[in-house]
Amino acid sequence: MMTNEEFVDLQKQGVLISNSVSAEKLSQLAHNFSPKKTEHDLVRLGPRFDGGYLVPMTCKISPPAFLRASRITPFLSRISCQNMASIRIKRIFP
Amino acid sequence: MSKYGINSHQADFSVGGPPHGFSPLSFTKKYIGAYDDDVYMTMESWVTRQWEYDLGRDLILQMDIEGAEYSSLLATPDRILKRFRIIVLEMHGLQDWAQSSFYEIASSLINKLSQSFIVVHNHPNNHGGMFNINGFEMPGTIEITLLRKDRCKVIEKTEVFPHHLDAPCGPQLPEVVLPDGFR
Repeated sequence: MMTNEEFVDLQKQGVLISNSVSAEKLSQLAHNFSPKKTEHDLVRLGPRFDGGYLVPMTCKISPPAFLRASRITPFLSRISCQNMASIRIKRIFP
Repeated sequence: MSKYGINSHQADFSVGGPPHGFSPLSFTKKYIGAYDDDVYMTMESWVTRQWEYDLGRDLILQMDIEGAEYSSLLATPDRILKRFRIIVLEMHGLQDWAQSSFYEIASSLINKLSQSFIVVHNHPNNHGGMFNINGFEMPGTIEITLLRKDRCKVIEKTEVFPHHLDAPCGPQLPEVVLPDGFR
């Protein structure tokens, strides 16, 4: 838990302390990312590192067009969760 | 893509042109965003200007726009989203879901996508780190592949992680394990 002094310091930095989301609600949202298996095998497009992706091989029937939206510079100046008062957070970088 | 007979189009304001080895049919020096101006353009503006749009052909989208995916895709009308048969999306800042205000934005996007697409693959990006938020483990960045629901018949749960074709995004870093909550 943060002290009032730390809380005020964060406010001075423009960090808004808001309610944190429970693990249960995070789990519900993450569950939407659970992958499903379909009749289409996955193939890898691109390199075997960043920039390569797995896609279902559905293109044999009618070739679609491919649109690639990319961005290199960071877009969001994020408020780090590490600064949030009511959240226990730990980076587990290898 | 060209070897599959697929035309490519790229948009990116942060670079001067397509990367080496990628020769799209068109390159637009703008960011994809939630409005149109000299720097940004919406998905709708970009998609509808492609000549394939008028042919009624399906499209594939690969989007890696460093967190702008939330606002950009929420601003995209369903009729445009549904033109994509496949969406390959890198989602950033998952740790920010822990803020109640951002949770609403993230859940709105995920629920919107879930109306028309299913996730057929996911893979944590080992550049994004792993977080433990109130006991729930989550990657900071995740790659997901979405397939429009009308394009698949067999739907069952994936049991094997990682997929045998998966590879670390950053080869110099150890691969990260997909947390159970995302399986």
